[in-house]
Amino acid sequence: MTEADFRDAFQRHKSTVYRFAYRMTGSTATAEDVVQDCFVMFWRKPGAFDSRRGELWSFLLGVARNLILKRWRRERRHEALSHDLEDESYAGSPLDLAELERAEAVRQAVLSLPPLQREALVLAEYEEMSLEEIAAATGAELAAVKSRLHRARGNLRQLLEPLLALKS
Amino acid sequence: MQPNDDRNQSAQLRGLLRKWEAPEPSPALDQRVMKACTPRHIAWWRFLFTGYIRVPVYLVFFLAALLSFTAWQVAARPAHAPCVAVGHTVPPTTGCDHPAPGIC
Repeated sequence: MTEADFRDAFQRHKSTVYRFAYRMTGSTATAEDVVQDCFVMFWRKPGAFDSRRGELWSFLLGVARNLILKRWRRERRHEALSHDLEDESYAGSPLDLAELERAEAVRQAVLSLPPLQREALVLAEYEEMSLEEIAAATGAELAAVKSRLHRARGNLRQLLEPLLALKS
Repeated sequence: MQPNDDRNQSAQLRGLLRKWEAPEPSPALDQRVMKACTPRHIAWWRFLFTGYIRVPVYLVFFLAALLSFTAWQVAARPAHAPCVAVGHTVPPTTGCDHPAPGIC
């Protein structure tokens, strides 16, 4: 890969990777670190991307996802990780919306979801990826993606119940 | 629950999710990534002071052995014979580096 190819790929996909990382971590600084690490990895090992297996943006989202989960594991290594990542029994209590702006409430609700539910939701709702694309980017089974997305939406409905009630 | 209600709720949730917008990455991110990824061109004289190279371990051992051997060779060489005044002859067995035969 030449320097020009790399620059082109970076300009085309940096925003997608950044938005995903930001919505997964809730932090602009961490999102920028993830974007940097992601593209540095791509620059050093361009052979890791196989165009027959999918699009470059999907590959980069997969790399970003792994970097985020790695950070998350490092920060919370003393906790029960596998349970936290899936957490099927998770059910959040409604937020105190009187204090919060609508956007902030959504942000908090999304960030409070377990990571695997959050990534499925972010990729489906914000990046408008199909279930198949999400499965490819995250290396998960299609059924698992469907289930995570279903649980994520259910949890969000619960968390944002007062706002949804206001809207209707 | 009716399918219509379900669709309505999904649309409502989707509309609500759109309220949370992600900011654009800062312009400094471009510089950070390019600096980390692309090779930098620095002047050769600057490289002499600030640059570094990676040397394989086996090469370091080889060079160290070569240096030791050379040092040992130099140390093992016989010392030069003291010079004597021009015109004096010395026995042929005495070590002497003077180019003219028999004179030190």
